[in-house]
Amino acid sequence: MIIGIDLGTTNSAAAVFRDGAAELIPNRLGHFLTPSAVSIDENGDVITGLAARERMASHPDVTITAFKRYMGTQRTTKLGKRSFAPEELSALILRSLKADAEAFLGQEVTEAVITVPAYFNDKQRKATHRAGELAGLKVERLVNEPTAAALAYGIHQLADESRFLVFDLGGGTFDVSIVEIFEGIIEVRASTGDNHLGGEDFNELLVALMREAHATAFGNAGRGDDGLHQKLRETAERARRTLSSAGEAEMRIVWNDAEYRHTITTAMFEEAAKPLIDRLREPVLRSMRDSGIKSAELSEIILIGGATRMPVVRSAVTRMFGRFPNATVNPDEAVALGAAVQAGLKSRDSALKEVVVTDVCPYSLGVGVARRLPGGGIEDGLFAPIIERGTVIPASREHRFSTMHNNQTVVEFGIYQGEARLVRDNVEIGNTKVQVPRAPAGQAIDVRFSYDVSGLLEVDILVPETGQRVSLTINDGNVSDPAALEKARAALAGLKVHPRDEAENKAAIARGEKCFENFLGEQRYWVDEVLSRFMAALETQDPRVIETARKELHTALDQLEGETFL
Amino acid sequence: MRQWWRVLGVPRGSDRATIRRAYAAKLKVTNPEDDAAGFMELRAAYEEALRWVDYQHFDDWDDAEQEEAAGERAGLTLVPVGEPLAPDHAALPETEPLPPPEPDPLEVERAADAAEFERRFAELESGLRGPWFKDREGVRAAFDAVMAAPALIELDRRAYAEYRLAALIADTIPRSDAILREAMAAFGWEGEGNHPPAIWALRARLDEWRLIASFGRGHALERGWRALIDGKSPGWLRRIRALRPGTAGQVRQLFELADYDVPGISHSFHPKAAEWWHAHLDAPRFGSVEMALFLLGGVVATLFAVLGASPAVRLWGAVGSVAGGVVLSLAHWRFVTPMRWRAAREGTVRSRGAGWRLGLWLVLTAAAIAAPATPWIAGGLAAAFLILAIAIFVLDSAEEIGGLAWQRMVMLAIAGAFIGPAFFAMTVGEQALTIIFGLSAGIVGLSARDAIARVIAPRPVLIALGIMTALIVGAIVRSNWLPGTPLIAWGAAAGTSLVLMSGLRAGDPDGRGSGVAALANMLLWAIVIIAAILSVPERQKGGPLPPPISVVPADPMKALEASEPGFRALKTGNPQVYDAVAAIRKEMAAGTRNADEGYRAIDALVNKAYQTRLPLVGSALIAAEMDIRLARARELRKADVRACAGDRDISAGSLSRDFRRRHYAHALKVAGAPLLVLRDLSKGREVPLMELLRTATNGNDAAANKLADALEGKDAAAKCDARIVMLEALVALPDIDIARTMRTALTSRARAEAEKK
Repeated sequence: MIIGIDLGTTNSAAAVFRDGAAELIPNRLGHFLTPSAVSIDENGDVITGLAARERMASHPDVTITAFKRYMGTQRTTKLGKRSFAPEELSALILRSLKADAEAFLGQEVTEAVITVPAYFNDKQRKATHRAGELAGLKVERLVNEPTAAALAYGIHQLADESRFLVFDLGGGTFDVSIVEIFEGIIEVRASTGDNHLGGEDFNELLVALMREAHATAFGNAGRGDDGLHQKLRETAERARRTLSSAGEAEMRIVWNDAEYRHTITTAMFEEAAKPLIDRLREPVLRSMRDSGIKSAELSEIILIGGATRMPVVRSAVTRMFGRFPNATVNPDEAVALGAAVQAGLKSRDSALKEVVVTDVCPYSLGVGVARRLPGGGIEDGLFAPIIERGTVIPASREHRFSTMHNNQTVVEFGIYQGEARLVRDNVEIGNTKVQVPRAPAGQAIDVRFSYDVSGLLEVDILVPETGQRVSLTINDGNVSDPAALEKARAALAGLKVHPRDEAENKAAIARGEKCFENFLGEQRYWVDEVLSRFMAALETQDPRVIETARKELHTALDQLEGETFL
Repeated sequence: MRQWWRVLGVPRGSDRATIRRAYAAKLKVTNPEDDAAGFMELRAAYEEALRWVDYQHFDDWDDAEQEEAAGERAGLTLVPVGEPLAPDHAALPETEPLPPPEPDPLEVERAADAAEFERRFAELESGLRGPWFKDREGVRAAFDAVMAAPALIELDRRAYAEYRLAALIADTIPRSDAILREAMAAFGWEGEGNHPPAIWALRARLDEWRLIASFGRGHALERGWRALIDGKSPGWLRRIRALRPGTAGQVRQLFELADYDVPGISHSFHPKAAEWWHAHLDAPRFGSVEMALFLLGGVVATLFAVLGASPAVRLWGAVGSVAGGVVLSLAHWRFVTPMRWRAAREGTVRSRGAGWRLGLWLVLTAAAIAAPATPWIAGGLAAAFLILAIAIFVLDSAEEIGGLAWQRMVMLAIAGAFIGPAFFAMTVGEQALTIIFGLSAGIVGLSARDAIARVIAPRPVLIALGIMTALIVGAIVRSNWLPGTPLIAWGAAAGTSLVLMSGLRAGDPDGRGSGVAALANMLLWAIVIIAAILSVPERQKGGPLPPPISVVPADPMKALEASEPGFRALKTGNPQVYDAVAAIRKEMAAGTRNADEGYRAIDALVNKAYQTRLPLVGSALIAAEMDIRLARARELRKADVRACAGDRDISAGSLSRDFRRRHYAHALKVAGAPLLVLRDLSKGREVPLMELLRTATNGNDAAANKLADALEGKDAAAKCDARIVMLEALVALPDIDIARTMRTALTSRARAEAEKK
């Protein structure tokens, strides 16, 4: 069984394709969404999901969220005694999703389709792939998030010819894809995005507003990931959600036993969000230019990703296209469902026999070159694209380059991705050297780039003069050999994970502790009392009693801080 | 690759819908997940088909295939092609007209935004196109206003605005330079993608900017660029600047760039400067004055160069000169003139140059062969002028000739033309000639540096250059015209070699080739140095000493008398010998006797007269002879003891030129000395040899006997030393009749020789 996994910045979800339809898999708490958070408790055990996120405020030093933003970098996070690479943290989330899926499906799950933002670069994709393998999943495919969303939406529209735009503003990334459906083919026409724009950036705006309001009290405290910042982020998230439906929202935190409040109005938020909203436009424009499709020709604008719930984003989209976007798609679930459809395609599900999806390469790939300017002089560090963005994948393209100097013996190829004219503004994903025979300038060298369906690149360089051939698959220098991967997996498996059946209680206690910290005076006493009652119920070890007490606890806390959100 | 219609399995001429349907059908069996290669082929075919679908009616594939396609299409008529996309409105029943709808507030806002955008755009357009353009800031502000227009939030409007702006900016280059960069950044035109032509024009403009910016310090065309953007300098200053070699070539390159590659740079030329330079470049390269000066200087210099040389040297010079001229002119015709012919036909450039140069070369050579003598100073000035002219000429030609291999060949050929005579001149001891040719070769080599910098295979070229420099060095070193010449020559040659090597390094970035070549060059240098050291004694030898003037004038003896006073003495003191010499000179002048042979005969005559008269002349002349002998003995002792031990034989040429000249003059004096001097011979006493030797050794008999033995002995070194001691003692004796002593010694020697014979 192949499952589809949406590995998101704030929340992750899993889905499966069975009985001719994609179906979301609930986690142990019965939710479809699992927060992408990892925490280590005092015993050194790993806690993931909602319980971990609730611990964010109370135990900021052993808890982490939004680590997807660091995928593909060497940055490690120290939680408790152990340091974690971003892909290891992702692997922990994937492992819990896998466990949930196995519990739900009643069979072992070893293969998965994982989604990545379309604009993830090669390194980030490789890191995601590795995360899957660390979690014990064979990653059948990496699929672009907007493509997955388009699949989830398009699978019901196969009969018609249509073109639509997927506007995916997630927790940490922003992707735009233009998709065309004809004759049962779902063809992605263009795919662009911004790797560092998402709901978290809007939260940071609110955090900044709050900090500004209480500048004297907060000072420079907690600029990093400490408790204050996490508390601010949490209340910002809550306020942002409130602003989606109300004209104003109150941000409120308790810090050093003092309470701070700040009221944000929609107008203030919109004003602050303007620079971010402006950044939404460029990728949309680019995708339309690349695909050659005008906005009038689009039949739908589909909003995906939790951040598109914000009215400010919705109105920006409305103004951009001069019409209202489609509101029928659940922005949180579409990507996971699409991943499940892709999994179904992969496993040849009979319901999907007539469906074919083609995707595109979201960025240009090429090499660094130099050229002679007219009248002498050399301009170095120019980017020569070989596979241009928007090329349907898999693709293989060859370009011929030539030596620059007489008697040149070595040609160095830096391999880059990006759109900038100069390579220094693009991302370097590898480099190699080839020997060429001594000769006058202008000797040919053929460079072939092959790009597979999962977005992994292979470079093949041929010197026709000598027949010498250099091939390389781009590796980012991290774990690549199976032995090292196996070792890392074993190390990760050695971590003790909280028993699944205790997860609900753990989450409830975490929530209670967070509330205890977040309130003062009478309310704090009350939280303390409800929490003690729940602890006492736990002591009885009677499931029924615990169940009742947990419900009571949640009801009480819901009254206090509003419902738990995902 | 298979043709797309075969891959897709549709007839050619299919419409878009058919192609898409075929692609979709094929795609379902060629899944990108499983069959990547198959998919890639299918996709390529599909994209190819979509590219051509709109132009298919222009297709002219051959008739048979067309018919086949037509047949296929006929077979397809069951499915109507080009079905109307919109439902047929005529078929719809008439509906009641609806009441006019409420104006949608969104629509009202959009209309207002659109009007605002139009207003701002018109403002920008009037700013860019208006008659008075100097307000860059104003245009920038207008552009910012357009970009800030609320209507641009809507994507389709923005795209429309983008194309209109691109067209406007492209249309108003160079005025729109003020906002070019901003517009590029705002719309992301710098990135890759399918841009309309206007945007490509703007990108090209940006490239021009970069090019223009690069014309600053250090660019190969910097000087020409400065000349073209400079509108302030007066005409005369420009004329002086234009004389500098290379500037005109750079300006021409810039004009060509502006004409063919980057038209936009002409916006940056100052109109006045550009006009002046166009006129200047179209004018003949050599004006009449320059031409006359060049011609005059060249003739005089060439004359000087071959002045005093033997006919063989002149032949070498002529052959080398003609060869160099012909090769250069051929290269010029082959590579420069065809391009110029085209340009000349189009009226952009007047064809000129090559014919002039070849002609000039031939005139110089002809003049050199049939030339009279010239004074030294004029000759020196002329030589300097020639060298300068050649340098300018070569630099200019090198700039014009594009073919690198040819350029290199031309340079080496010219250098060779100079090296040949230099080498030959060296062997006959013609110092002035050697140095002039050597210098010329060096200058040609220097001017070839740029060409060498682009050489493909440095090793052979460097080895050739090494041989060349070695020859020059050898030539200069072997002639000992100036005291200390070797040092200067070594320094100059080493400098030249270094410059050449630095040029090669530039052409060989990783330096491995030039490293090997430098090694080879150094090896050659080492060989030259070792050969020079080994040849130091050889260096002292020479051929027969030619009288100083080699050009044979109408009156053969006048010149000889002018340069060598001894001949005057010969005329009065020894008329028979004088007449014999005059007869030889006449024969030489008439050409019936070879010059070398003639000189040798004159030498022999003078020698014979000297031998005959020496015992009979006065004591002053004898004393001078003693001095010369002593000097010769000392000099030879330093170099070659065997020569020292031998008898007087200055024609063998084992001594330095200077010494020989002095000796020759003395010989002439003796040979021409009047015999009445004999009367003046005083009666002094004869000093026996042993007494002389005893005096020399302060009365030590044993030492005197030893010296006497050495004088008769076989050991050359000891013999030489003994002679020196004896002569020193002889010159030092105050009261001795040297003439008598000498006579005694010499007659006994002559007697002994006669007995031997």
